Amino acid sequence: MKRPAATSPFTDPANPQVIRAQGPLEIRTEVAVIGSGAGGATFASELAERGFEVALLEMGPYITRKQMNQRERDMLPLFYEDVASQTTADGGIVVLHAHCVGGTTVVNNAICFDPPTWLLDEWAERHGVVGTRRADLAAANAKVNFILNVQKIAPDQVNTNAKVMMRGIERIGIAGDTFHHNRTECLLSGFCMLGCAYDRKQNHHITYVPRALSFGARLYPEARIDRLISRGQQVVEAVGTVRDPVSGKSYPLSIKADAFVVAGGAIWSPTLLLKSHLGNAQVGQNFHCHPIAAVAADMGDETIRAYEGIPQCYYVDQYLQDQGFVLESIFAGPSVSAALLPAWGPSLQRLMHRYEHLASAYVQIRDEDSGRIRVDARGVPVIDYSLSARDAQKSLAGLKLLSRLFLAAGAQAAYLPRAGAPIRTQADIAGMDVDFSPCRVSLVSAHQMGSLRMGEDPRFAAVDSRGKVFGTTNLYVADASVFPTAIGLNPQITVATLATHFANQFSRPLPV
Amino acid sequence: MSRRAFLVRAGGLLVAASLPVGCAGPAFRAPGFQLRYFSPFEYAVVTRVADRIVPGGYGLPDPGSLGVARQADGVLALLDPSLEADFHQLLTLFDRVPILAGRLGSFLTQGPRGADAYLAAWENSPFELLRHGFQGLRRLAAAVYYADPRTWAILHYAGPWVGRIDVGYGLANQGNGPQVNPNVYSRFPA
Ligand SMILES: Cc1cc2nc3c(=O)[nH]c(=O)nc-3n(C[C@H](O)[C@H](O)[C@H](O)COP(=O)(O)OP(=O)(O)OC[C@H]3O[C@@H](n4cnc5c(N)ncnc54)[C@H](O)[C@@H]3O)c2cc1C
Repeated sequence: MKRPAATSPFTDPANPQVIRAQGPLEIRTEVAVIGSGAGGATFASELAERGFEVALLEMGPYITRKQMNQRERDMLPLFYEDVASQTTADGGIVVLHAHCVGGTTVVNNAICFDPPTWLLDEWAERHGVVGTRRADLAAANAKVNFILNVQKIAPDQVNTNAKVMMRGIERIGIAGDTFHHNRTECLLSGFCMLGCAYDRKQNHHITYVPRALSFGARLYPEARIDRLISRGQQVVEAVGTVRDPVSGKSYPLSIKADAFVVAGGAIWSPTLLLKSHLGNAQVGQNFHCHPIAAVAADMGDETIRAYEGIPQCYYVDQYLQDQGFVLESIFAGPSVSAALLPAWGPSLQRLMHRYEHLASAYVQIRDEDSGRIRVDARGVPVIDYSLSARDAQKSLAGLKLLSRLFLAAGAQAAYLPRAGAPIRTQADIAGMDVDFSPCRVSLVSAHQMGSLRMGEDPRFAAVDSRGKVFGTTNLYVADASVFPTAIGLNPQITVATLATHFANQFSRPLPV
Repeated sequence: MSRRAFLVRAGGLLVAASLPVGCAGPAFRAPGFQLRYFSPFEYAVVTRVADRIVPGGYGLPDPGSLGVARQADGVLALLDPSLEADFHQLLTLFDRVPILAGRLGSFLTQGPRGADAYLAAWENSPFELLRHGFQGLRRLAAAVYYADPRTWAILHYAGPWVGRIDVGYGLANQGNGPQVNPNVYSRFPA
């Protein structure tokens, strides 16, 4: 039976609370939140629910399911920064993140991990973060899970790609599990990383953003903040440009507010602070990005069609705490797959010809060593990050394990993310050696964090344990930048939980 | 392909690239359509790169018939202007500095085997910068080629559901589904 069409006025870009600029905009509000992703939309919604007057500014467009056609050719340019071609400065890691209302959540794979107790303890004990232990965050975490409707992937939703991984895991005798995810009544179409055309993936543009609007917030799509202007320690104004999506014309934008919350993600938040000469020497340091290295396994006669169904269903995390990596099943459309496979010429064509027989999973490392975000003369961020030798060892350990499990699952060959012969035997695994120097191995980052880390000591942190930027009275950060370390696990729930926690502690700045 | 550092880091090499070696840009005639990003010379380089990176075979179409370089031109035209310059520099550098690839003559003067050797020299170069450039070119050609629906049948990739599979609201009306998450506007039962 057909169900009624969506009726919520808050998911409609024509809602009067969604502001279309048709000339220069001057806004006065109580709190301006810059960036509408996992952190910003959550923070905005929480403050609006508490009765604050909130303006939510997003430099990307407001993209709804009506525009989501599941084609890589159209969706990669629409969502991803630099058409998904951004890399670290050394070219070694492809860095993926999105610009749109809802931020990177709109293209994410809906994997949900609560921040683990050991991680929060580590942040408290080794990084001096105060008030973010498990008990402190429990209520905020539960609320995030509630609003995003997080649940475990059901057995009948597991796709064939993940079943190959499960088989291998069972045969080599390690433990894995299906993910929790924030999908509701998923149709299993499999295009999550191009946006969900059916609004079943509960990303922030259909959850926290409309919730914020329902509590009175205003949303400004295509509103890009270029600079924060301060008087002493107080930020008084944010300036930038706003684009009219209909005419394509851009206009100057000015926002005056009592408090400003930066939530542009771990690349753009420090960029904004650096360009505004705000914060201390820690701004931009400590950048982490969970480098990912994938293995593609040729499963011989077995038809996998790994692109069908939920793209990521299964994982192994038993090595995270002591060896610093997790394994996760993954697959992508043909364009992204071909771009990331480390082959060209006839060998690429041969591999792609086997596309429906390929299974794939990756190792994601908890990178201990970090890089930094700086701003070049043109005012754009540069990601100075190179995989360190000790982090590369984690990746290598994961690649060996993945090769083992795929061979155990029946793979004829396991293709590593570097050029050269695939792995076919246990002896190949034993002798595996990967040169991790930049651009010799295909690495990807889907999780950026840490570049405005929190803590209580400004010598080591950029913001305090409530997200307030050191050296300012009314400037906050509420996104993945505040993580003191990489977390190893997929971060969206931790980002939203911290944003909820920060919003709960937020109080009206005292007039100066 | 890069993160806005290519240009800066390529500094010294670009001086070399400006030397009059290899094929000079002006000798290239424009294709019979408007280029949005490439110069005719750059278009020729990318056409040739695509021929070698995604050469057809296995029943797959050849990149020329798909217009891979033309499509790449459209993709690059979407880039942030600050990144645009980097790719122009890369293409000049790529073609004009054969010595870096251990070859005599520019990329465009190579026959098929020479072109492959030229690409392989960039891929395996001891200079990180050249490997970076190679990966940028490789990813561009591969991504554009396989984004084209004309490559999908051979892969047995069925393609998007949108416009093909009716999930209950009519094919033309996929954007009309219900709000399925009951909690979005609910009070959190603290
Ligand atoms: C392909 C992919 C799959 C992923 N899958 C998962 C997953 O399954 N599970 C998971 O937990 N995580 C996943 N992630 C990561 C997760 O989505 C991000 O870590 C998370 O969204 C980060 O939240 P954030 O608030 O820090 O930044 P974002 O969500 O990126 O939001 C930042 C927003 O701020 C805007 N902005 C930036 N600067 C400005 C400015 N100056 N003015 C105005 N607006 C600005 C940006 O346009 C952007 O929309 C995935 C990421 C990718 C790329």
